Amino acid sequence: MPNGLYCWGFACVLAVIALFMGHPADVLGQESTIQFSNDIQPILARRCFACHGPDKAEGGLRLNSPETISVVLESGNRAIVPNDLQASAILERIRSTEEDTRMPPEGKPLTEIEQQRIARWIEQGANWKQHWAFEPLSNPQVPIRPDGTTANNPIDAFVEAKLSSKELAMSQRAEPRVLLRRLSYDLTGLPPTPEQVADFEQRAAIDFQAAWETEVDRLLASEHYGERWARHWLDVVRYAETNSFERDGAKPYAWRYRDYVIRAFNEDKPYDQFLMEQLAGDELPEVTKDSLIATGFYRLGIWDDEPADRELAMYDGFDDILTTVGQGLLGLTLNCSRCHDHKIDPIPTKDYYSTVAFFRNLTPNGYGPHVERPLIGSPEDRAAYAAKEADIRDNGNRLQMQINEIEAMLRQELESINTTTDQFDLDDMEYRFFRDSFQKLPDFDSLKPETVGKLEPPLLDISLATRPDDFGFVFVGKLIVPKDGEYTFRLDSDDGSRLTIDSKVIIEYDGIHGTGRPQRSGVRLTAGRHDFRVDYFQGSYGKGLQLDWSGPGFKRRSLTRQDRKSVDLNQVLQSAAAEILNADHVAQFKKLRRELEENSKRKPWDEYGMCVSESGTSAPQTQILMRGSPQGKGDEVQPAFPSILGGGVPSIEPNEAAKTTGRRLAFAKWITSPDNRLTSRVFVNRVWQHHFGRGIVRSSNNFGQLGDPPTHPELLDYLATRFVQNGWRPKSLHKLILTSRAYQQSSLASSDVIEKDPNNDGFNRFDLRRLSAEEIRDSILVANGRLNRTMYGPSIYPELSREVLASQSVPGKGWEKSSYQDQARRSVYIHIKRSLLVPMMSNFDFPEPDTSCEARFITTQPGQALGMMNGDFLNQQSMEFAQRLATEAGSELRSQVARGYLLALSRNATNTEIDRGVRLIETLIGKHGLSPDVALANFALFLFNTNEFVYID
Amino acid sequence: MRRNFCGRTRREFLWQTGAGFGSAALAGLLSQDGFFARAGASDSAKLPQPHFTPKAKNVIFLFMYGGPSHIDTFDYKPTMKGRDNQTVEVKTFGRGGHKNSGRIVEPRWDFKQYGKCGKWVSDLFPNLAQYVDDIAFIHSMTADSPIHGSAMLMMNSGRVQSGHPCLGSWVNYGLGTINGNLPGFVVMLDPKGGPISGAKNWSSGYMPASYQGTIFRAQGTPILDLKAREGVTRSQQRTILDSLHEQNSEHAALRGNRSELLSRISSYELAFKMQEHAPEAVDIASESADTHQLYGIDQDRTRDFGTKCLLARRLVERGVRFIQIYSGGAHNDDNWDAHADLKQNHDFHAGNTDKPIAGLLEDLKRRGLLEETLVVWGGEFGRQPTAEYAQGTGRDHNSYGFTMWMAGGGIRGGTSVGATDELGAAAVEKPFHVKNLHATVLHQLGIDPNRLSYFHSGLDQKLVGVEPIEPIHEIIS
Repeated sequence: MPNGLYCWGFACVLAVIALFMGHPADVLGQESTIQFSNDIQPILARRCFACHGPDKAEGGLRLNSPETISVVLESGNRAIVPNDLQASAILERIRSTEEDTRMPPEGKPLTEIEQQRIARWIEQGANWKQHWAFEPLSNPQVPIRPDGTTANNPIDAFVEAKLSSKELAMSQRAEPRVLLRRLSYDLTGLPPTPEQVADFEQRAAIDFQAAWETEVDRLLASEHYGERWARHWLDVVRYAETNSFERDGAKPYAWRYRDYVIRAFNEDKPYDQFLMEQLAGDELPEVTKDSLIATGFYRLGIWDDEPADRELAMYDGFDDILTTVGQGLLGLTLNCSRCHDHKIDPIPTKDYYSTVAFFRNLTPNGYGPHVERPLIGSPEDRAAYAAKEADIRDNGNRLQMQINEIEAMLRQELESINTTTDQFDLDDMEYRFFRDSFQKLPDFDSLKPETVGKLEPPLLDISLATRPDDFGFVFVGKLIVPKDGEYTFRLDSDDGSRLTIDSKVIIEYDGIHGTGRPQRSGVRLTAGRHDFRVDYFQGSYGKGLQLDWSGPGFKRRSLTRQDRKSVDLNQVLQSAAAEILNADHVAQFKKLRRELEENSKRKPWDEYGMCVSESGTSAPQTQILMRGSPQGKGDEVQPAFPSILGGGVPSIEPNEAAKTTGRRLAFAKWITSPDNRLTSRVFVNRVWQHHFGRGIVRSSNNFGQLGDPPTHPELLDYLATRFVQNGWRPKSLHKLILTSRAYQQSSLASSDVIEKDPNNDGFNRFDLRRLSAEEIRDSILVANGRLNRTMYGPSIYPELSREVLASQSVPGKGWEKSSYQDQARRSVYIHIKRSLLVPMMSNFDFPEPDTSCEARFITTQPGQALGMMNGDFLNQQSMEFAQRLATEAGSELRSQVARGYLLALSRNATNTEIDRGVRLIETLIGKHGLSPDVALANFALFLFNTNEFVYID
Repeated sequence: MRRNFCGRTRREFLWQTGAGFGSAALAGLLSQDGFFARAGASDSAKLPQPHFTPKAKNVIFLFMYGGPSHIDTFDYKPTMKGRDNQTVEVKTFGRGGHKNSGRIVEPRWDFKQYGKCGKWVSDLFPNLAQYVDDIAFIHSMTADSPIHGSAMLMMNSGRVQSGHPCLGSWVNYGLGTINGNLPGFVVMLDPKGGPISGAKNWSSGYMPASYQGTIFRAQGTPILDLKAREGVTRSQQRTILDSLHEQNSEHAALRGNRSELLSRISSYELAFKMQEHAPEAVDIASESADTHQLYGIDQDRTRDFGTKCLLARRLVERGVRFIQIYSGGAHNDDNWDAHADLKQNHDFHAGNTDKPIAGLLEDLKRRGLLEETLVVWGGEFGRQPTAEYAQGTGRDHNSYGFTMWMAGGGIRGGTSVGATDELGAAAVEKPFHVKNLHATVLHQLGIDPNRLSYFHSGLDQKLVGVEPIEPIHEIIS
C-alpha cells in the first residue's frame, strides 16, 4: 500500500465523488484505445472472477481466458462478442438497474467509466493481452513535446506527456531551503544543518542546477545514505533479530546482515549482485565474508522452536521464504498458490512447489553450526582457518600429552599415600538438555535446548533431566586418547543414541528400544584430544545410557556416570591432600591444565555470522501438498521457474565445496537475469516509491492483477531498462530521479489542480511526507546535538519503562542495557525484538516485522501525541536541547528561541514565531512558576511537537 | 469482495481516514471543523456498519492463561471417580509429546448441580455456578497446538503463526470504536506478568498499529504516557498546547489546510481530552461499597481480578469494544499451567477469579448490560485426564478437547454443547475449532465472519481463514 495513505484515502473520496458528479457521457475522454491489461483485466479480476473465473463458471461463463469469454452460455447468450456491442450480453447485465439482474450482484455497480471501458474494449475487438507485468520489458522511447523539443531529464518527458494529456502541468520548483531539507531526509534520513542550508541557498541563487547536483552527489556519498536506504530494504525482507513465539530468542549475529545491507547501499553494490549474494552467497564461485553474511536473508523470518506439527512448521518456513522472495523481489504473490491455484494471477500450485524445490534442502532456522558459521571467504581465509584449527588441535594434544605424564606421576604419588583417584577420559564436557518427545534422534542443532551446562565430573549423565520422560541430551566435549592405537566403544541405550568422534559417526543406535544389546565399534585414534559427542533421547518408560571404551593399555573404562564412583584429580589437588604431593608436579600440572583450558577457548575464527546452509549436495524430494497440508502429498516436482514468467528448467550443478545442491544459485541467476520481467521493475519502483511517497505501481509488493496498475507504465519500463543497462547501480538511478524537475516540485498546489488530480496520479506536485519513526527519533537527537554517529555492530537497547517490560512473561528478558551514549545512536541500530517493539517506534508505524512490508502505514492518532508530550525520551531529549540552546545562544531569550527554530526546522524563525516562543517561556515562568531551564525545555518540547518538525514539504 | 474507494473496502478506507484508537473522535472533530463537510463526504466520518443487526456491542474476554483443566471445572466426568492411578490407553499430546497411555488423575473436586438447567459445576466455582442459567458451555473445543506460544496466538489471532491481527483488532476494524477518548481494544494483564509471547497476543499484525490492544493498568496511570510529567499541571500543558495550536495552524494555513496536518492538530486536542477522561474511567472509588463487595474487591485475594472485572464493566459502559483480562501471567504455577500440583494450582487461580467473575455477571445483569455484552471465558487449551509424571497430580496440555463458555450478548444461557469422551481426552461430539468460537464472537457483534476481510499479501485475509466457518449456532438464542 502506498505511503502517505492518510491523505491518499481522503483524496479517494474526492475521486469517487468526481466520478459520480461528472459527465457520464464522455468520461473516457481522450482514452481512445483501451489497454486490456490496464483497463479491463483489473475490473474482471476484482469484480467478476469470484463467480466467473478460474474456480467457478456460474451460468457457464469464465472471464479469465480469451477462449472462454465468447462461449454460448446456459442462457443461450454470449457474454462478449468482439466488435459487436449488440450481441454482447455482458453490457446489458452490468448496466442494469434491477438488483436481480445487475452484475456484479455483490457491492456497488461498476462505475460509469468501467462500463464504458468494457464497451469500448468490445467495440475495439476485445483483444486479450497478457497482464502488463508478465510481459517482457519494453524499451519505450522518450516522449517528444508537440513543439519538437524534449525535456532535459527523460523522467520529466514522461511525466509531462501524461500531465499534458490531462491538461495539467508540473507545479513550480520548491524553494531551495525546502528542497535541501527534502533531499537530505530522503537520502540520509537526517535534516541538513543550518550552515548547509545557507550555503546551498547562496549557490543555488547563482546556478541552481550545479548547486543541486553538488548536493545530490554529496548526500549520495554520505555514509548515512546507506543507513536510510538499508531500512527500506529491511522492511521488505521482514528483518528482525528474534524468532517470535514462546521464547522469542535472539537470532545469532542478525545485526551483521543489517550492516551488510547498509554497506551494500553505501558501496553502490549492483542490485543483481546484491540479490545473488543474499540468495546464493555461499554457492558463488567466489565466496566472501559479505556474501556469506548476505545469506542471513533466509534466516530473518519467524521460527517456532517448539511447533505442534514439525512437518507443517517446516513448510511454513519455506512459505515464509517464498512469500518474501515472491513479493519482495518479484512483486508476485506466489504465496497465494500454496493451497490452491492462484485465484487471480495465472500461478498454479505446481509452480509454487517447484519454486519451493529450489529451497527444499535448506537446514531449518535455529542455533548451532548450521546457522552460526565462521565467516570464511577467500581461499586464503579457508587456509588460515584450517591452519588455526590445526594449531589449536595440535597445541591441545601436546599439552594433553604433558598432562598425561605428570598426571601419571601424581597418581602414583597419591596411590602411595592411599588415596584413589580416577583419571577422566573426557574433558570440557557440556550438556544440552531438550524437552520434547521424539521417536528418533532429531537434528538437535536446530532445536533450542532448555538448559545448557557444564558436565562435572566429565561423565555422561542423563540424571540431569528435569523430567522423567520425553527428553533429549547432547553431550559434547573432548575425548582424551592416551596413545595412538585401536579403541573399541560399547554403547547401550534406551531409547536412541549416537556416538560421534571427530565429526564421524562411530555408533548409530537410533530408534525406540530397551537396553541389553550394546552396540560396539572399533576405531583407530591418535593420541591427544578428539571432538567427542553423544546424542541421546528418551521417549517414555525405561531409560538408560551407557558408554565404555577399551584400548591399548586399559580394559573397559566407563564414560557414563552412574556406574562409576569418581574422584576428580583436580578436586584432590584443590584439597589439603595436595600438600603432600610433589609441589613442582602440582604446580606444573595446574599450569598445564590452565594452558589447556585457554587453548580450548581459542576459536579457530574470530568472526561468525548468521548464514544459510544446506544438508549436502542432494535434496529430499519436493511434493505438491494438497490444500497446503503435509498430510496430502501429491506428485513430485522438480525445481522450475514460474511458468508465468516464461518458465523453464534450470541448469543445476551440485556444489561440493559449499555442500549444497546448487539450486539456489540457479534461482539467483534467473532472478537477476536482465531478461527477468519483474526483478528490475520491482526494484526501480521501490526506489521511486521512497522518493515520491508512492510507487509508479502503488502496490509495490504486488504487480499482479490485484495490484494497482502503474500510473506511468512507459516510465517504469524506461527506468528499469536503463537501470539494467547501467549495471544495476542504485546511485545512478537515484541521481536520475533526483535531478528531474518532477522531484523538485513544490508541495503547494492550487485547489484547481488538486481537484483535477486528487490522487496526484500524474505527479503534478510533491506530496507532503510525514517522517518515519526512525527519522523523528534521529531528528530529535540531531536537533539537540546528541546524535551518536557510530555505525555498525551489535544492536542498541533504548531504555524501556517498567510498565512496558511488564508485558513480557519474564519482564526484561532479552532486553539489555545500553549506555546513554549508545542509546543516542541512529534508530536503524535499535534491537528489533519481535514481541517487544519499542513503543515510540510502533506508535509512528514501524511495521510488524513478521511479514514483508511494502509501505508503512501513516497513521495519526492521539497515542502519538501522548508519547511526544509525556514520554520519557521526549522529555529527556528536550532538556538536552534546552541546554544546547542555552550554551550556544547565550542568555538572551530571543536568541535562544531563534536558535531553537533554526536547529529544529532548518530555517530562521519569523518575528511572530520568536514572539510566540518568548511568550510561551515567559508564561511558563511567570504564570506556572517554572524555572528558566525547565521553561526552555518545554519550549524545546513544543518545537519537537510541531507539525513542521515531523512533516516535510 | 466489496471494493469501492479506489479498490479498497469501505473498512480499509475508514482506517486511512484514521479509524482505530481515538479516530472516530478525530473524524468527529474534523467534521466539526467543517473538514469533511467541505469535502462533501461527511458520512465517511461515521462508523463502519455491521453486516446485520448485532446482538452484542462489546466483548469481555476472560483469558485463563495456562489452560484450565476442563474435567476439574465444568466438564463433569462422574465415571472417572475411583479410577485414580489406573493406567489407561489414551492418546494424548502435550508439551511432553505424543503418548498412547497414561495414569489417570481423577478430578480433584466434587461437582454439584446448579440452576434451572441443572448444570454440574465443580467446587472450584461456587459463586460463578449461581449463573449457569446465563451461560452456554462449549465442551468440545479443539485447537491446533498444545504448546503455549502457538496456542496463545491461535486463541488470540486464529493462527499458530505470529504476524496476524488479534480478535480485538478485527472487532475494532469491523465496527470502529465508539469512544474516541479510550482505546477500542483494551488488555489487562496479571500482576505476575504478561503471557508468553507478550505483545504478540494483542498485536494488530499486518493492520495499522492503531488497532493493536492497549495495555490498561488497574493501578496508577492506566495508559502508557497518558499522565503528564511529574509536577506538570494541566493548565501548564494547556499553555504549551495553545502555542502549538497557533504554530501548527499557521503552518497548515500556508499549506492549504491539508487534511493530514489538520488531523494531527486535532490529535493533540484529543490526547488532552483523553488525559481527563481515561483516568475517570478507572476511578473505581466512585463505585459503591456494595459494588466493591460484589466483585470481591474488599478481599485481598480477589481484589486484583475483581478490580479488573469492575473496570471492564466501566469500560463497556464507555463504549470500549473489546476488553481482555488475563488471569495468570508469567510461567508455570503463576498461571493455570498445572504441571505439578493440580489441586494447589487450580484452587489458587479459581479462588482468585470465581467471585469477581460472578460479580461481573451479576452487575452486568443488574444494569441491563449483559444483553449487549458478550462475556467469553477460557484458556488457550485444556488439560489431559492423565498425569504428566510418574508422581503427582500435574496434568499436561490438551488441545484435543476442552471447555470454554460464553454468556450475554445474545447467547442462550443454560445450554451446553458438544462433549469430550468419557475421560475428557478429546472432543467426540460436535467438535468445534477456535475458529468457530471466533466466528461466534463476530456473529454476535453483527459481523459475518466470512465476509469481514482485509486485503494483505495478495489475499482477502479473514480472521477465520479462507474456508467458510460457521458460528456455533447451538448456543445462539
